[in-house]
Amino acid sequence: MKLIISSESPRARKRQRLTNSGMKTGIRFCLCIFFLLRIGQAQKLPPDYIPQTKFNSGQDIVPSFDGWLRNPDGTFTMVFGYLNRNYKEELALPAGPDNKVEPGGMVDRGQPTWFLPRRHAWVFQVKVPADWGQKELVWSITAHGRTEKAYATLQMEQEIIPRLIMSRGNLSPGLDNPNKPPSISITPVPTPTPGSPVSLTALVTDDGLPKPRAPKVATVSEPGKPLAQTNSAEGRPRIGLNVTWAEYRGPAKVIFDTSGPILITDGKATTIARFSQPGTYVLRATANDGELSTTSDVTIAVPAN
Amino acid sequence: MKWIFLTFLAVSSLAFGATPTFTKDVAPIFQKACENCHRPGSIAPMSLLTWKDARPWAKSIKEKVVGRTMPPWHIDRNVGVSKFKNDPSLTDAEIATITAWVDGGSPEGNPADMPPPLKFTDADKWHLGKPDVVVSMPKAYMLKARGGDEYYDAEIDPGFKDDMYIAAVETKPDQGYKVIHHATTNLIEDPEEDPVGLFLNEYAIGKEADIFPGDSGRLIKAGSKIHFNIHLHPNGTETPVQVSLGLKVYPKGTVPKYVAFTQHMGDVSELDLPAGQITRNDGYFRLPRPAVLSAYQPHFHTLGKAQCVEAIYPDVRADSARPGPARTETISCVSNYQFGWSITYPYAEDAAPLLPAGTIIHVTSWHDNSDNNPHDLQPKNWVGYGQRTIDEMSFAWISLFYINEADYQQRVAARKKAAKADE
Repeated sequence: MKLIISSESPRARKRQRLTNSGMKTGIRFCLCIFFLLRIGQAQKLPPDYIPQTKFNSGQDIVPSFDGWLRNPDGTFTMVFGYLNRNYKEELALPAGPDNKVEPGGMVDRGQPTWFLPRRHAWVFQVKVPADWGQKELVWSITAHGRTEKAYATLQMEQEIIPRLIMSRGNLSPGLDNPNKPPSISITPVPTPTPGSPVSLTALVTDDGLPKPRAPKVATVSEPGKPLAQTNSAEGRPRIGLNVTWAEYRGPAKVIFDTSGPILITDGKATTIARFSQPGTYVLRATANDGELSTTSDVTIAVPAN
Repeated sequence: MKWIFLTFLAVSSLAFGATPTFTKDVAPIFQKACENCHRPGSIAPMSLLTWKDARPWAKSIKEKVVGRTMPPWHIDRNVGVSKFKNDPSLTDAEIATITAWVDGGSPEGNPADMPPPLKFTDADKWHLGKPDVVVSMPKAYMLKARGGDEYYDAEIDPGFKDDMYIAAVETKPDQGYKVIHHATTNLIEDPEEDPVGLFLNEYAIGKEADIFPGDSGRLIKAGSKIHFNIHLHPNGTETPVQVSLGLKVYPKGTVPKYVAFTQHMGDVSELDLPAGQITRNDGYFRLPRPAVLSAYQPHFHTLGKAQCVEAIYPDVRADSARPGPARTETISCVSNYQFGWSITYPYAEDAAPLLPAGTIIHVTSWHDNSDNNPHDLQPKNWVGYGQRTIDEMSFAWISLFYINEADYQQRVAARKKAAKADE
């Protein structure tokens, strides 16, 4: 039962079949020639990559160039992110040959060294001078034996503004919207020891916009009227001003009691973190008002026992 | 047979030395398929109203029509549904005529053969006809000449006093179409409960009106506001941007039988588009009820290459031991997607996909992130999902309305009857 095209004329289809059969011999001949000619070309065709197979581990990390900012002093800031192709595996890649920004050799440019699963945009910035011109800044990451690179240039189409980062790439609400991003700071963190809990507190203020809202209740059809419109994929409930915590740099996984989102109570959000190994860690707290977000980093040195 | 005959005529006339002329042979084709855009003040970069206008572009015109990139109608004619409303594409005979005219030196011909010029009125800017209601931004937004993408939001209270049902909707730029990546309009019924609202319509270059099939429409409640969200892409010139929404309204008191709407299907939000590669992604949407699909539009950004939409039918056999899919059927493919043309393909009503409850709409999308893609600004870089033009997306806009089971069975029977009568 061909429901989709049943309205098209069977006669037309019959004609098409007849035409097809009449052409088959010629087509076969042409195809033979075609494939003979293609033998030498086939290797030039790019592969049809199908990325939707999900892997928990064993995959590489691809850095992304997420745009550049124009600074008031005439310099520019290149902004990077990454996709960790693993769905579970987190990787530690210290700054060095497997995690480097060039030009600059092995200089640590503050890039992430702890890579969380999946996509993380706008995570890392490098300032370049006003006379940068057409040069490339290249972030290379080698993981599981594969190297991926992001090439940053001052291409016009790649220019971004801070509000784009604050809105996680949405640029909505637009520039004319009164909503201001939240501000966030992290209270001093006592020196932890491996395995012992340490309290992390973020102080957050905001202008109260946008207003939190409850989940939308489905509308009911009124008698004599069509079914209710339910085609909105938007309008998700906002939970209110909140903070999430994430590991940005470190030699080993940091365990949070909860990484968030943690609702702000009395202007602050608190969680507990545990560090399994000594070393220097950078944790990032992100305050989000439902539309715009602001981040703050804290560096924590965990001495050996 | 008609097109074969016409093609034969065109080719044979060339063979016998009768080169087509602009006034007699080409102008009627341009009037039918090109002039609405290719005229002063419209979106095309050059006019094709007269021989003097068209002559300098003759070789380019031939290239575009032979490659079927113009008129912009890029759906694959060889698969799936092939009957559409408002299909502006050229027949093979028309392409042969234009080719022969160009190859023959693009002669003007006898001016007396020129058909009367088309009359374009202001209403021509609306593909839905003259709107009953127009909602416009209160003032133009001035977009800066350079810089990254911007989004501009404007919320307007049109002062709707009564509930109304609309039969067609269209979003159109009044100014600034060259910098508008897209402009969406949403219905805000309750700003406190849902400030985002219900998606209403989208403009993107090449996209026309949503004209809902007969006896279907959308409800706009009294007091609803219209939210414009405009994605802007600076092009080097400071540009004023002004957008309007046009509505065709059912007569007061008329309640259409079906609710028509447009939604995403087959979204893939975790795009992983490696540098230098063609990448395939698959997305799905399950129809909870029987449905009629009235229009289709692939949505990509610059890396879009092709998209196919197929129906995976539920297994409805009484003796089936499983509820899973029984078979598939291609609905539509756009095999040569052209960035810059977000064309909606409205199915002819007697060919619109009529699908049972439980059908899965399978959307397969291909992106080309290589230097083979002329629109790829950064083929050395990985690209992922995002809102900006230089990010990517992957989904199909599908316009549809749901029907009940009895209605579905009636429509199936009617189509079978029509098919049988045609045998």
